[in-house]
Amino acid sequence: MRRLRAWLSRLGGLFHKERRDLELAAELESHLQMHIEDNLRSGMNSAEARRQALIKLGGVEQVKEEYRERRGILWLETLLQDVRFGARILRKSPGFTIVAVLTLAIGIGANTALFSMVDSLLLRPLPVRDPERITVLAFQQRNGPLRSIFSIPDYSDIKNQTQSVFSGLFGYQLGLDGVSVNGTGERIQSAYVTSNFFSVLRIKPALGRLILPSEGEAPGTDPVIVLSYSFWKTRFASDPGVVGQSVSVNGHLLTIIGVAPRDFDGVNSLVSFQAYLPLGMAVIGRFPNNFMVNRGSRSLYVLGRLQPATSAAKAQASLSLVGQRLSQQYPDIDRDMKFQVIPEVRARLGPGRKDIAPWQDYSWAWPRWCLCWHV
Amino acid sequence: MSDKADVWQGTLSVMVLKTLETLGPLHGYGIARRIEQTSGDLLSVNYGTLYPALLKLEQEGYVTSEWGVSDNNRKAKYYKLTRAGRKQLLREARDWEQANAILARFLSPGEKSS
Repeated sequence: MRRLRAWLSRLGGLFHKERRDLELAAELESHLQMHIEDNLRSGMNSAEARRQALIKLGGVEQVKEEYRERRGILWLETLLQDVRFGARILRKSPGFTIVAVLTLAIGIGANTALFSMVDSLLLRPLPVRDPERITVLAFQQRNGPLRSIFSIPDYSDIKNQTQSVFSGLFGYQLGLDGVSVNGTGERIQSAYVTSNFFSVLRIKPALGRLILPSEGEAPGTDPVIVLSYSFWKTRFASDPGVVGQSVSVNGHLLTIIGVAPRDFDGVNSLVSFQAYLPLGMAVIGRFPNNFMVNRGSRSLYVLGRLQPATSAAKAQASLSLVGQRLSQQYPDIDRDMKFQVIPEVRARLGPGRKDIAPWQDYSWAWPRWCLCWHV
Repeated sequence: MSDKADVWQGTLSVMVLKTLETLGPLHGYGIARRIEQTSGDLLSVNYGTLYPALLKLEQEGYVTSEWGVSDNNRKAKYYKLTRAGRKQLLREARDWEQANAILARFLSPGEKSS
């Protein structure tokens, strides 16, 4: 407490310096005068009296310097002087100042924008429970490209044969649907999701309920729709009464059952979903009636949540076996099928882009690099 | 000079507080003279070092200062002990007595272990 008080007092010592200097000078002067008078009384002549008094005091300037050191905080005083000097120089050359300030402002602004984009695209984990356990599945046939969409029969086979390594395998198809709200039509980015989509991600609705594990297993059943939070906010004015209302999607009436949480806009880093429909409802989109049974029709993005004690490598091994089996069973479609398990954050620019991984590992250094580069 | 000076720095604040307790409000010159007399000129006094010490005591809230007029009708800054200063003096005096007692026992003859 004493120490704090002393420090505050020293901080105060940074101000009104001239007045304080004058006061110290007056105090020392009065000290000297009293001493000189005493010396005169003891019989010295005036020159000697003054000399002795000054010697005893130990040099007026030294005392002043020592006193100043104690009064304020020397380094802070120096810093303030530098700042004042800098400000004066900048004021003298306004052209340079404007250019420098603008350069910094634009640079910092661009960096911030770029970083927030990179952050949401590459670095920020999904807003779901244990996001680090979410993986993306991809496959390669012969020396073809790494692809990330599966047919639903393949998905079902993989799902059934990897239950020891994945606590849940789920997927979605991208849709672009015409939605009519209060008489005005709009095209939205939708996701036709497998029935376990929300339960495996472990997401809680902001309103109403989400799609249940029993919904959407067959084409055309369960005409329900879940709105994204932002779509609900902008298009339905955050009306809590939307649950239970009907909305027309591609000319079909669907019932709104709930709203997804605010921070969740899907599991695709490049696309924000505005609504979620059961997978079976994809028949009202551009998908053919047999899309759920045709092994050659690939349109489902597949993700998996790893079992608690399972590593990606173990999942990979298990999937390799499934790949061999599928290749043998369906040689005309699934020949030389090789699966890959990729952590979700690593697959955000497409499953084949491994070159960004090292950058993600040093994500903490990103803003610093940007600034260093800039300066 | 240097040995004596160290002692001087360490004990100066106690001496100042004690002086103010004994004599009441006093200016810097008066405090310096008083300390010089009381210590029997054992300590080589550099009056100047008193002022930073007084400033420190004031920052810590142990003394306050005020301009006044001396006996010889001269303007001078008077220092006064505060309540906190009085407590601090008691504390330091006790510390010194303890330290002295320990040292005295330690250095006293006749307690050699052989």
